[in-house]
Amino acid sequence: MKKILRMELKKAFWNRWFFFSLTLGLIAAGLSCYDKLSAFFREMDYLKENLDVILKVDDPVYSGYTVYNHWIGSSGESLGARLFYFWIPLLASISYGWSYAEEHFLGYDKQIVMRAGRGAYRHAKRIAIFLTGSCTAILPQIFNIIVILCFVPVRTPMSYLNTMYPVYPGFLSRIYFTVPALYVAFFVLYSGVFCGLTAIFCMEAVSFGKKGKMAVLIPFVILMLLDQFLPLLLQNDPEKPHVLIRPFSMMTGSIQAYTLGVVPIVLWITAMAALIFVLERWKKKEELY
Amino acid sequence: MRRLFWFDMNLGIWKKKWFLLFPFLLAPLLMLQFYFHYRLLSINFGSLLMYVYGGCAHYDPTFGQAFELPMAWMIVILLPAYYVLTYPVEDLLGSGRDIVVRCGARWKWWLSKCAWAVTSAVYFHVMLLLNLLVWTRIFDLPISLSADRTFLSVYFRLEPAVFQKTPRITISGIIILMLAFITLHLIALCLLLFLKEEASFALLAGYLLLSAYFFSPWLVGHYASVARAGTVMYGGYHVIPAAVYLLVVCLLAVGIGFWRFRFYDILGSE
Repeated sequence: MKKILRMELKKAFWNRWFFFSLTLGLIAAGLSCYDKLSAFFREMDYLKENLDVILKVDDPVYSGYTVYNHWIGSSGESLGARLFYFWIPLLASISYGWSYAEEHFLGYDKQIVMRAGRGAYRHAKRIAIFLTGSCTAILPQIFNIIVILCFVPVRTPMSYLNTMYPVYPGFLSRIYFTVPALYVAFFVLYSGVFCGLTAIFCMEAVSFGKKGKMAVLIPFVILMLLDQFLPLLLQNDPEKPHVLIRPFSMMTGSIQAYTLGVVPIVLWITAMAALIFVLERWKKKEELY
Repeated sequence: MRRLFWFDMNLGIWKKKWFLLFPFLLAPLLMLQFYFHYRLLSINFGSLLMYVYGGCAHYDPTFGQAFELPMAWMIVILLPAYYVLTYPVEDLLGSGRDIVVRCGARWKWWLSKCAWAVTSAVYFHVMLLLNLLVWTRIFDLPISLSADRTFLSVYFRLEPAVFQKTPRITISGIIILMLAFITLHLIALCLLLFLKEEASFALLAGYLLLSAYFFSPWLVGHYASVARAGTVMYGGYHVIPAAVYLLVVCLLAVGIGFWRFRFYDILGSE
């Protein structure tokens, strides 16, 4: 298992599609940096010009300008951020999700299964796909936060300036106003886990009859359909407050006009992990090598 | 050439059960969602078309409002595009390679695929439109191609003054919409000759998002958004320049693909 895992990890992190996905993710994260930093400098210049009239230097309004409302997850209006959070489930799948499809298509998987065993091969493959998918999502966000940190100060957000922050009342917003770094880390980690699990579904799509590398796109297409139609199943009353359940929006830390509970997040991760487990068990019964 | 085209029709459309079924499955879901969200407003067939094919009317990031992904619009464009990217690859990995050799001219294979891509775009969207029309009747909504200004301002989160006094979708607007979908399919087909299918899909998805984010007549997605027609909003596109631009892009995509396919390594496509 160790040997095959090492081999899979080497293949996973040293292939051009991982670099391709990472590059696209970094471009989107860089675009978001540019958008947010140019807006930050423009507003700072405005405040400095009007300092005598409007503000004093120690005015708490400056607390509105913090890294916690400038990182990629907080910027719902930035092109880079929207592009990034729309792309990452797809990029995570592209990075190494294709490998099982290709090996299955060429019959290479049967060779490995004969030598190392089905369980070891599939576990190693799953771990490698999950890690590359997660890294494709997490690394550009870390890059974005580091760049933003170089220019924007770290200040704890003030709850009375809540119009300047992209959060809505709820459990997570309490964390945002007390330990904001934890809030950011939570969303970065969540998007990583979510994309990692999405990438694993590429493998399951191949196992369930979808031949060829286009199986890589199946999880993304399903996510798009769920993003559009899941609110229809769970909430159709425009009068009630909306709980955010859309997968693409849930990855961002920017919650506008929606209440984001921990429950939907935990449910998504649990449902995806459970589905992978069930599909794996089901397929194991049917497969004959 | 004709036999090649019918062969593609048979394998690329007729035998793709999910592709045939998707317009029938999507239409009721879109209708239900539209109805439940906007039943309190004055809605009709025109509003439904705006909901499905409207995209993002106009987004101005300077107001600090979050950009809402027009997911319904993305789905109706990317779902058929997925099939456009699947079939030619499957074909080249299977019998298509023999066909290219047997028909003796690569351009025939390429033109046949272009014709197939055009037909698949027309089939998908015409079927979806017809299904939406049927569901509009089932929900007993008025069949009219003019949309209510209040609905438009609520749905697109814009001031009513942005839209024409009587916003309406014209037949020529629907033709431009079809032409835009055909162009996007041909672009996807052309991309396939330069990049792998999943990378082409990622770039197409990004391109669509850019088209929704920016109000730019240089992006093809601009014309795939019916809310940006001149008859719907002030400053929208006009039919003649839009048609000319889309036809030029179509020809460019076919031409570039034709040139690229002459040197394309069909044996290395695996």
